[in-house]
Amino acid sequence: MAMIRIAHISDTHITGESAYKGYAYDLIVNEINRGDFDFVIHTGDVTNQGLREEYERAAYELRKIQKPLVVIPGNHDVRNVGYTLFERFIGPLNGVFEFDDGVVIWVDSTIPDLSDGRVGGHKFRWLKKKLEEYSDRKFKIVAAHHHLVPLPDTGRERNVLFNAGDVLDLLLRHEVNLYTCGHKHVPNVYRIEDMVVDNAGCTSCRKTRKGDVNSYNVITLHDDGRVEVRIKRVTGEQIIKEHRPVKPKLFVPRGKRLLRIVQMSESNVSDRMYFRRKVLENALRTINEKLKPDIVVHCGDVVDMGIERYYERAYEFYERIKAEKLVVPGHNDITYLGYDLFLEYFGEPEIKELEGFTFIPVISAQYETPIGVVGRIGQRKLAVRLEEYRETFTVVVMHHNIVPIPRSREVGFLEDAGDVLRVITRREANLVLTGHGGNSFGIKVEKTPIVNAGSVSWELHRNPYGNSFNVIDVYRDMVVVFEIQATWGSGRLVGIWKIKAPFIPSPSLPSSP
Amino acid sequence: MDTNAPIKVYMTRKLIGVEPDDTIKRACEVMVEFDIGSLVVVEKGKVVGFFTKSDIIRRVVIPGLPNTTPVREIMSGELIKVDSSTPLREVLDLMAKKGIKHMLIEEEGEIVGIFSLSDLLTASRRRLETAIAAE
Repeated sequence: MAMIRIAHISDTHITGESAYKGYAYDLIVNEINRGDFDFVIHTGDVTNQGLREEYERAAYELRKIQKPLVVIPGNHDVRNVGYTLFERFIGPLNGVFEFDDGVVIWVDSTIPDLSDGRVGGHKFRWLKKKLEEYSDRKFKIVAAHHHLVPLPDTGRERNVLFNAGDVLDLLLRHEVNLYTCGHKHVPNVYRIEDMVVDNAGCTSCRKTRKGDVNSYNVITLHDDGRVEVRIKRVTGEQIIKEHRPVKPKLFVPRGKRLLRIVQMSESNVSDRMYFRRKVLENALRTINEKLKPDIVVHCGDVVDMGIERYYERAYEFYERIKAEKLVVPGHNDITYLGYDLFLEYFGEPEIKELEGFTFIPVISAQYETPIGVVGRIGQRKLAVRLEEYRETFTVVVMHHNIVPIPRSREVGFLEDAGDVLRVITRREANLVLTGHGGNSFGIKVEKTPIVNAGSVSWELHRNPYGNSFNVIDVYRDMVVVFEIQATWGSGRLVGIWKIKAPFIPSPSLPSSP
Repeated sequence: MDTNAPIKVYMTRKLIGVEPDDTIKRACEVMVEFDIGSLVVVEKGKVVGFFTKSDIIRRVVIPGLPNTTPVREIMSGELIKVDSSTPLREVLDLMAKKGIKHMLIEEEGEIVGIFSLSDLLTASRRRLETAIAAE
């Protein structure tokens, strides 16, 4: 196999109405037909409303593509019970397409009459079985309609894949090389660990964002394992991104660690039965006596409700911590009088500088709703700070998760997660710590490891290993994250990442004991 | 835990190691710091050897070698390994029959991961399923 070239189109929205731009479709299809492509993937929203006349026209339009074609259903295609028409006019809703040394497994992520997505149990197990079956293929591509991680420039982060966290975990564990999707009409490419997430923009729909034009993506799979995605706009503008998976991933620790961070979240101190006082006491003892971190970061939900009695108790607990502390409020913390009480007891979260390290708190909690927002001004401030402290090791600390968390129901907990994720990856933050979702999870997006903490002492969590918190050790060239079981103090490796973003450790940095 | 899943799903794919000329003392420090029972030996970006805590007992402590001995002298050069697409079931079978606690995982002739008994414990609590809905 020399290389494989794939044209990735999406969101054609074929209809007799003005939503469909026939000339853009013909332009792109002609370009694809003239090009040297092995096959074409269409990641859904073939039609605009899932209507019969739209499907009839779509079947005709798709026949113009003179290459093997994989078509995935989108949320628009399943409107008006369009999924039955999809099978009749286009093809199977789920399936497998094999090529030389690879495979495309496509899965229907739609829910009839909703814009949100879901890969429910039956399909999830089917996908898992296919990934097992094709495990030895060099290139494994999974295609679906809905996006897997938040996208920039989409306004509000919504109609997401409800179980994006579970799907992401499954794909990463099976070493899928490429996930292709569409849905939000925004072309984008991210690298998550060793998987490239390729979002196509819209090929021929009027509804583009930020005044963008129609586009499609060109995927090239190179023999040496490199995956290249080229976003091609109809104006001729091109953006190329490329990733070569690193294998094997070897870590040879050198020197002493520079800093130890303890990251905790969702203490939810209260007198409710779900609050496990003894577990929190155990955790605090382990932190003080055994782990001895340089700083303890609490990513929100210190109390279960923003009332004086709970804040008083929480304050007593956190006074026991001997190390430096940084606490950002979660959505529970600012309920009722919580906004004022948080400031009274824990103070306004401020930038913390520890020799060579900068902890940047970001406030994302909104009053009495679990949905958070950083906002356009907040994003700009964050960008400025990441630039200002660029040469230090920058740690962004916030409550809401910006990547989906396994076992949780993803509903777009951060309104502007896509824009925040872009700020963080573009400005190359060294580490992001979040604490919403009740499960410990860590992945690297572009150059930035993003680590979520499970719940340290709240019974309502989603972690199969129980209540936990994270210990993060930073060395000159790598970041190591362990999850510590809050009751037993045992550790489990969450991830190790080489430091890729800018960081110049000062030669005078003292080493931790 | 899916016993039919390829071992790559449950293996640790980030390998912590030392270099052949590092001392046994340094290797033991790394083991303690990262709370692991084995280390790979890395030379020029490739895994060339492997040893476990019990190898240190057998090959260093009992014969009375100094802890300044380079790991090159006590590492196993012959690696016990399986391909990353091998189902977990088969890997467990092999580990049980050979009586070993660590299995190295290879892909295209290169060591890319490790599966140990603690990975098995972690895997035993992890179902690759989704609770979101049946459909």
